[in-house]
Amino acid sequence: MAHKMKRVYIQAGILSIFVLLVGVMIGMWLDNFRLDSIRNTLSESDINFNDARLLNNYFQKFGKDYCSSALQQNLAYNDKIYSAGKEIEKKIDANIFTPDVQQEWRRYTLLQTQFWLNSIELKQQCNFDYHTVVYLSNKKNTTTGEEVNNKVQSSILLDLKGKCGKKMMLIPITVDTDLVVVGAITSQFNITKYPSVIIDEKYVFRGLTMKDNLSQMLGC
Amino acid sequence: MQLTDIIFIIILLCLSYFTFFHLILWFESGGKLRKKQLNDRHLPNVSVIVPAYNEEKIIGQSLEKLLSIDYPKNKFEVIVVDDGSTDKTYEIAKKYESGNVRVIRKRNTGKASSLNFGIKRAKYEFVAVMDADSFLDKNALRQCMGYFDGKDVAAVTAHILVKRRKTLWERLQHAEFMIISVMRKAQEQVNVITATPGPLSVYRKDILVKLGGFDAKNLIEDVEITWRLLKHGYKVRMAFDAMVYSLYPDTLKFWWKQRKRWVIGGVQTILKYFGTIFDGKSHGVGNWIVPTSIFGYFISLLGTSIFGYIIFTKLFNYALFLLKAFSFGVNPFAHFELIYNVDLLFIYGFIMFLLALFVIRLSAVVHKDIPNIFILALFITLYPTLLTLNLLVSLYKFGRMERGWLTK
Repeated sequence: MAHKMKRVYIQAGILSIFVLLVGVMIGMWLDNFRLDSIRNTLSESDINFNDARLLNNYFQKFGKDYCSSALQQNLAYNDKIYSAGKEIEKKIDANIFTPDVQQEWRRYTLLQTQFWLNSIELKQQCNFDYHTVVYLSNKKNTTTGEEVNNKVQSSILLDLKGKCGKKMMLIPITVDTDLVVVGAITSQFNITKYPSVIIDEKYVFRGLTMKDNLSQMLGC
Repeated sequence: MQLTDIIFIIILLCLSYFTFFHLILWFESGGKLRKKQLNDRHLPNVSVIVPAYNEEKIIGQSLEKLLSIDYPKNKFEVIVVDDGSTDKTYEIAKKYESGNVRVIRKRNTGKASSLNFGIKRAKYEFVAVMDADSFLDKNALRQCMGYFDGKDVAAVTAHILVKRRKTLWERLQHAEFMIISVMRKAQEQVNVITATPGPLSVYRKDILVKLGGFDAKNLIEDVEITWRLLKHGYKVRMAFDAMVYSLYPDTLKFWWKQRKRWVIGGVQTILKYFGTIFDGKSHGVGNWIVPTSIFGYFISLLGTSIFGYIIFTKLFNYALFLLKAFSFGVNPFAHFELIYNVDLLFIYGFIMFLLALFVIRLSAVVHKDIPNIFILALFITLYPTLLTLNLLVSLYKFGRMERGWLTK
């Protein structure tokens, strides 16, 4: 009886580890699948961004209606990159085996920063009256209060985007990504509290900001 | 990967180990699920003891069912022990008194003591113990007797199922009992059956008497006697094909009360047999039953605490978000998206769900009433949570009890 018991102990152990390994393998496969999907989304965004920029350069050179086409491209790109960000964010939370996913988030942040700078340039060249709204937030090591504030601020900005439409370029940037350019932004605008909002590179709102205050500033 | 993920994976690993341990043994039991029935000539004499306390609503029906079983009338007697009922239990049972049915009234001293009272008056070599709210299948007792195939087989328990399956609680218990029946049959293979439950279990009378009968101080005397038999080197068997249907609590309130008694009795029994882990003897109580019982309690508490912590944190955060969103004039539901990304824990949980389904399917070899998918989903989510909450409350209650008498 004792011998039989020992044998069953071992067999049950082997089977349990086997099932665990199967679970881990499926988990890793799903993680990689998600990672590939994130990479594809970002590559697509990257291509779209460069496409838009090159088209602008082309129109600039050949004197076509550069400004209106650039505005269309920028708006379309803004919508795409924003939804791509939301998708990536969800996938990052689910991935536990592939730390590479954090690298993709950094790529996404760089794309957003690039987009912001491009929007500023466009606004200056074409005298557009849209507002650039940069939403800066912390993702890692946040307290419950900060996490809730981030969510509320994000909802406020989404509400405003819905209301303002083409008059507002919403650019979310994650701060804790170890990117030099992001460090430069936070130090230039003296951002010490999150979430923060920068409107038109002039007005800085540190901490959770009421919808009315932002709405007044945006005029919509 | 967070610490909570790692702990969850370890808990699921333990659960799968426990499940595979039983499944391997189950499949090794192979063809032994149905035992050839003994013919009338070889059937031994049995005294059936039915302890009853305030069972006026059911005792008549259960006695009628008992008296109609397929067992030679000259080979069994029924002893109804009325444990000082305050209703008409005694009067109703008395109506069934005849040549082989005796109804004895005594002052109220509890179930275990009533059983011992009945054993003293039993005239046959085997005693079958049956709850007053249990209903035996026609062949149940006959099937059980076939398993006494050696002098060292001290007890045989039947396949217990929930008779009435109307309310949610009864259906959840039905799923639970189906799984328990498979586990019990598997445990038989290495002689580690943990209980010979009250609805129907048969014992060799001489062994019971030699070991001092049922422990009247124990809240789960059917578990305690099983551990005692195993500790003394006896075998305990399970007649998978002997079906007994018993009434179980139909509301959460009664279920909660019954489980509290089971948990407190469980702790009481663990404490009594804790020393067997270190006694160096090769028996299932010290090698398997006591360690896995303690570990089971620990794992349930740990798992549910972490699960509770995660759920509480999420709900708390969401409540905080709602509060803040409203105070900042935002509609919190405007951008709500319910998206779940499949992760390792989900996959592992799903595998465990399939295993539970599989075990229930195995139990259905001898009957066909399989719980539906809704009950199964609740059984693997809500039911363990309630069990652990009950465990927590019961342990707290046990900690506050004057328990010197419990562990002697």
